[in-house]
Amino acid sequence: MPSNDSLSDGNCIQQCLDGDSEAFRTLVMRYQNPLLAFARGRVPHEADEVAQESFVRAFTQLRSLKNPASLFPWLIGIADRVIKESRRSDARYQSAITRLAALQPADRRPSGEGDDLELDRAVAGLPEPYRQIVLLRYYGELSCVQIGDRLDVPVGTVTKRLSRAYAMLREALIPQTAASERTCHELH
Amino acid sequence: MNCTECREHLAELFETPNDGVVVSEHLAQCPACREEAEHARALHARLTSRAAQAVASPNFTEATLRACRDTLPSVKSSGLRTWNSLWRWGLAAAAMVGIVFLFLYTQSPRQASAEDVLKSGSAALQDIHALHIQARMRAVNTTDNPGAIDLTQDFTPIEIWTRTQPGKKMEWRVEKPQRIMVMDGRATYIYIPTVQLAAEMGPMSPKQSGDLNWLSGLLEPREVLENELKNAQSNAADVKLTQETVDGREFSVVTVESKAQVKSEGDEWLKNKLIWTSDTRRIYRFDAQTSRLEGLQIFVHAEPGNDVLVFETTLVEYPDTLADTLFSIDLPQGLQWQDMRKAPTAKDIPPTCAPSKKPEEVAQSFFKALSTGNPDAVQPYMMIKMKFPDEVFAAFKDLQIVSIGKPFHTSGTTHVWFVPYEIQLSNGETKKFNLNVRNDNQLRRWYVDGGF
Repeated sequence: MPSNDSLSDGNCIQQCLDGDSEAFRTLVMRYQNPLLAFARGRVPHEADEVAQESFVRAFTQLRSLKNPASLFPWLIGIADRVIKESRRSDARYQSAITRLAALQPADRRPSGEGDDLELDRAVAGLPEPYRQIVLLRYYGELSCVQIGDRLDVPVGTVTKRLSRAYAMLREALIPQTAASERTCHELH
Repeated sequence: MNCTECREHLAELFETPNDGVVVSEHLAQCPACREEAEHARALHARLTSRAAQAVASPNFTEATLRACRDTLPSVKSSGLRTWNSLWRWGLAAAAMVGIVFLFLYTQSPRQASAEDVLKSGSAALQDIHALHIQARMRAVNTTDNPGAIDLTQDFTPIEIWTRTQPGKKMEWRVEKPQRIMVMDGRATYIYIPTVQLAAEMGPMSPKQSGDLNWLSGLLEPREVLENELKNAQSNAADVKLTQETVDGREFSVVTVESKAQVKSEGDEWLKNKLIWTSDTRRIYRFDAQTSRLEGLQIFVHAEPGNDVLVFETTLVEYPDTLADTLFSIDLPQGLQWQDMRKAPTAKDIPPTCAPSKKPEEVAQSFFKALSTGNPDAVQPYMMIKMKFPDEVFAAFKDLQIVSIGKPFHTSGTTHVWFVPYEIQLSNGETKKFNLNVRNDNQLRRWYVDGGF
């Protein structure tokens, strides 16, 4: 269930910096689904670990974030680095996974038959800033107005980016569909 | 608007009802952009569906916070908290405060406040996976919106279930004797047997369902308690705490007195028809041992000295699990779900419901259609296909319009209107009420949504 949604990202960050580590709960709840969606599009089988480790790193480095409106892009940047470490089996990533496993880990979200991994990949592959708008709009369940407030950009910019993102996603998804159809034809 | 501009604004089609008007106007006359919009619509539906399915596991937040807390000892020295050279003085001061506090605490045991009880009540619901509430409320009737109250009516039973499972949005079911709503994690369904209405919509959180209105809070009681806590902290409401013992069980009882939120003529019309537009006393009962919410009563201060109990729970339980069958609806044979996710197109709009019409014109033409006694003439005004009983059409056949008044709306809405009317029925009776018409959709097509 959503927690204190009325607090801005800036207020939550300030409370965390003032020693109230519980204020971080609001930020985790606010961004866990978009961050997981991003991670799932890149590393489907390690999305939970990547997202958790990204939040842990954000928590410890919160003081280095200068602009609260950049929180979500900053989180995506951290997750991107964690994903790169995971791909090259970096020692830092391995140590993080061991540490997370020693605690009571999150239940893994089971992969279902209906998982639209093709869409996950297409969203994760969008260039910034289109990707963050799509993640916040759908996985973060924010309206364009709310996204504008959160990222401190005009709502018109948000709707434009989202409209362009639809076109980019369509482009990203169509060739794959065409390719798979072609393969089917060739096989039969 | 040209084609380039239109395509840059397609996202507005899926935003709040106020947006997307200009885009819709361009789409109505441009087949190429219409095709582009259809692709965007399909993608929007696919993303919405995927996002509803791909949610964090229920303990993701807690596990993540645990992992964060686990880093705290090292964080203290690396930056989250600033420890400067005066830290020893700080520690000494804290120790002194602690000693004084301990002295005061041991001398006079601290009494819990209403805020403490609301806080612990919210925390106690943090890990629940299922909820079942049986209640009774003074509802308008057994088929109307579950959130609508009528102080003059007797009680109607109402039942609520929610369930949270890994990898799924919260499932829920709200049931009155003649109206069932279910969200199965992927889609929302509404079934009203009396008018054979069966509609399937996109996945909705309780708050997104306009039908539930204030009742949506009961499906997410933790949020309600946090809102009441905010009310208490900001003095927006008068909040008191008492203790009760019933059959040997101790309860903490928090009573909240709050005023109606009436900001417009429409809100005034809704006074005492919804909880938020009424002056109320809300009484929350918590088990003193577990801190869990065990009951809720809501009184409306109808007039000075006349408090009307409009809602009370008769059972609140937190089962370990709930049956899958609760989160689906079996329709009788022959009745099919109507898919409401398919948006209407401009060519589907009948002239009497065109965007250019004014609310009073829609009301006028609707009553004319109703006077024919022909269900087919009325159906175009309805958002969902439904079959009214023959008696309804018989009662309105040959009605005469006496007057249509000036439309008004509630605060926060600009496309949902109430049109005052007076009609005379063929049996000589007159009926005076407000017709609810709305065009809060992308195409600004008018519909009649109740009030007749």
